[in-house]
Amino acid sequence: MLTGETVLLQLLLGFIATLGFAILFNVPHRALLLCSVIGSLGHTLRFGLVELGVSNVVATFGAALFVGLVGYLPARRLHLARVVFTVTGIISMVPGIPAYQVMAYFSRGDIAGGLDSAVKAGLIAGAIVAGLSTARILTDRAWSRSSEPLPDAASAQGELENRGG
Amino acid sequence: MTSGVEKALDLATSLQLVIRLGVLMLHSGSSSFRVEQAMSRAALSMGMQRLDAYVTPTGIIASAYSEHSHYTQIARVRGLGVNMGNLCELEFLARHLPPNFEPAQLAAKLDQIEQRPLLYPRPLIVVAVAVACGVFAVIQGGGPLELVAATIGAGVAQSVRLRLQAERFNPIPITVVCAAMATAVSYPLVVNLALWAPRLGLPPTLPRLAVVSAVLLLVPGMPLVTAMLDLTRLDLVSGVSRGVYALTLLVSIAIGMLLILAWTGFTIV
Repeated sequence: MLTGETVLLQLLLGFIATLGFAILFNVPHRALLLCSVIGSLGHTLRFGLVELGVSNVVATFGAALFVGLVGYLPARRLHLARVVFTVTGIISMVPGIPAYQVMAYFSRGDIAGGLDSAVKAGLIAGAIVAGLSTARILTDRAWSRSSEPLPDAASAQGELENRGG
Repeated sequence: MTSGVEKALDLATSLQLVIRLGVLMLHSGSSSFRVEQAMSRAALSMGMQRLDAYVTPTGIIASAYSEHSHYTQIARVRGLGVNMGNLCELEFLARHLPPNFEPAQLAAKLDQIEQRPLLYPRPLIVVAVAVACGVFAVIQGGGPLELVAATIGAGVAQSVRLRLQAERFNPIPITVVCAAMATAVSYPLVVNLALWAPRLGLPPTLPRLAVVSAVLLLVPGMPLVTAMLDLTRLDLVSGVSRGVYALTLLVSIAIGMLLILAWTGFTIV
């Protein structure tokens, strides 16, 4: 059930989890709070989609795409690399349980169970990656054009517009 | 007026600095394309005509061209880490060098960034990461007892990791040892806490949630995402090697956990 209470709880959980990893990654002070908010919203979006019946993989893709797109603006405004917002934002989506089950099943000699979990973990990791890649290609010329020339002295000023990391 | 020889030496020194900028960016976890971009910017600001850089996570090859001469240098890169503070500083530096920047000034800036301590005190890092891992136990469906066990297990693992990283150990043994520590602490803890569950009116615990969450801080999230960025840009060599690096660390986590699970006979599927 999606009630106001569960949404608030998920927002809080996502916030704390993202904040902890942002501190681990040495994120600059001025970005810390914003990182955590983006991670919190991304996590809650994924949680909400799953609760509404969307498959886990699609929900993860949507949430990663959201994180990638939303991270774009503050990165430009604060003059920070975009990975500051994207890497911390997707941390709460990491498929910990299936990845762990791969190892647990294999160690018991259950090859079929291990492969099943490996595929599940791989699909979720792939969904995160595809979401962030899509966001990157949509918003960053350096990634959308395969032959973007490296900056020369004349265009160095214009390149300032095109921030990211 | 400087002579041709002096100019050539200048070019060699400048190239060395530009490569050092690239190496520092790789150490902080930057994607190969961003490193190439930053190196080119810095090179142009220092008066080179053109810079061709081939950047991989384990080494950089770069050629610098000026009017009358050109130089090629290779730098071996060891020690991929994550430091977003430094990453942003270095990228900002490369973007905002004024034209005809003196090499000595860049050297001083790079020294300053390299020697900068972490932005957050170590005890804060340990507590923040530990609590984040504890919260993951709840996100994945656990209750307060799993939260406590995961928090303590992750806290122990992170303090051990900071100690080992300060000694500059190879990341693979660090990951194995920390995963083993997290498992050895969080598993018995959650099993013992579970005895209290009925008395506190809590549902029975799922030990695996505590153990999985306690090792989550070791998951190489940054290399995984950067590998994807490299691959999306078709920097295939960088993407594949970074992806393999991340995969190696994931396997190291599994080995660390299995060491403890096999040795103690804990079962948690």
